[in-house]
Amino acid sequence: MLALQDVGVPSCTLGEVKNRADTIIYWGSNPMHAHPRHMSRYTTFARGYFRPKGRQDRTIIVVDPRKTATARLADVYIQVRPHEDYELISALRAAVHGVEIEREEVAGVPVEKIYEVADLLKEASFGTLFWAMGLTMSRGRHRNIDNAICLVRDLNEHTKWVLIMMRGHYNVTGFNEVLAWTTGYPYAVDFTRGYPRYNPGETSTVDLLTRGEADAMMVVASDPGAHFPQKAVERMAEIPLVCVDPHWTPTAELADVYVPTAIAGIEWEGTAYRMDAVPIRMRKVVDPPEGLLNDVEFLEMVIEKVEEM
Amino acid sequence: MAEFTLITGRTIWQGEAIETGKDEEIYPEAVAVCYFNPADMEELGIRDGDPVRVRSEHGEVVVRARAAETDVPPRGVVFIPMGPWANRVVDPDTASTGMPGFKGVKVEVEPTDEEPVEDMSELMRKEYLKEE
Repeated sequence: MLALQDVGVPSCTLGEVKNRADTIIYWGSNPMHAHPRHMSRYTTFARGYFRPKGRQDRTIIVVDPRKTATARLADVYIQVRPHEDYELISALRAAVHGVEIEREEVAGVPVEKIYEVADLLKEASFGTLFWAMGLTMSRGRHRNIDNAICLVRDLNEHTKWVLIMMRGHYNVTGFNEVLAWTTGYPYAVDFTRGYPRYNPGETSTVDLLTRGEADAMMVVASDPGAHFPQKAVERMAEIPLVCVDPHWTPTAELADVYVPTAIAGIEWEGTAYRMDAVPIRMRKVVDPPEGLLNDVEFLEMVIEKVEEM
Repeated sequence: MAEFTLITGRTIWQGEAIETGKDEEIYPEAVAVCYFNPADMEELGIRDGDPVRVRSEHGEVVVRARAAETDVPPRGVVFIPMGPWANRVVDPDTASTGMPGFKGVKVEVEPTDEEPVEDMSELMRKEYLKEE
């Protein structure tokens, strides 16, 4: 998110990737485990309008410290040392520009291989870079993405390249999109002054909890108890905690109040955003258990009570 | 005791378990484990299923060692699937981005006689609510 704000993002929808992409990079992303339907629906194995032979029409490149299940399916696998993605992206950019790299290897990758891959990227007719937590959760964080976006920008001087983030959670893109068009900011929005403020590191949830600034917490359809680092969860256990979720989770385990709700997209209708930011209308499939509210109904009742106070 | 770089992240089994239920047996089976390069396990003298203590400067946790059959980490790297067990040792510092250091954490690993807590509810209560 921070990187997109810094340098912008040349992107497209997954349908474009399916129909056009002939060269695809997965960087710090393991869709065989994390997005098991992705490679067959949109990329590697999918037959597209301009890629009728599917797998044969596409070159797959995987960059990862581990030889993952995805890497085993790739045409080219690049084993990067943990925390050295930034260096490798910079080296690739140098190679794309035809600059001589005065080293034998960068981030554990021999320089000859970097030139080979740079040629592959320039020869693409439509390239897509998919990146994920392997880039955003290691050293450099969003600066890695800045650099990756710059690589894509450089490649657009030669051919067509786009990038799409492999989002981890259902409708996390929807949260970012809706928050951005309602407040101007994609996450970590602070309303304490009566207007939206945004300063990641100061106003982000993990930081507010780790510094002990938050003195109450309400969690809706999320599980920070399972996915936040220990210091943040320690604070959650100390303060009044409300958990609104269809499932019993580690957050529910720590909560003072737990409110079960209906499952969005199954037990009630609504809109969810796909990872390429396409909003999809979800229909209700089955009735929720009797008496169960959905998130919206519950939150509206809470707001009503708050306004009475 | 040996030093490793810890990566955390998704596995297909973690995905299966969170959809089944984090309060069910399948969850700790999927995430209260640490995947090794088999050569590193041999050097440490541990076998598949043995408990190991993983310690970082941020905390420690006991999980079960697994020899990675697929997605094998390189020598010196271990992998714990994302979840409350992994989060005992990850780096809470977000470097002013809001995103903690879930990957590339320096850890020490040693075999232990202590059995891992293999129940989500018990783990959360023991570690965060200080209940025995």
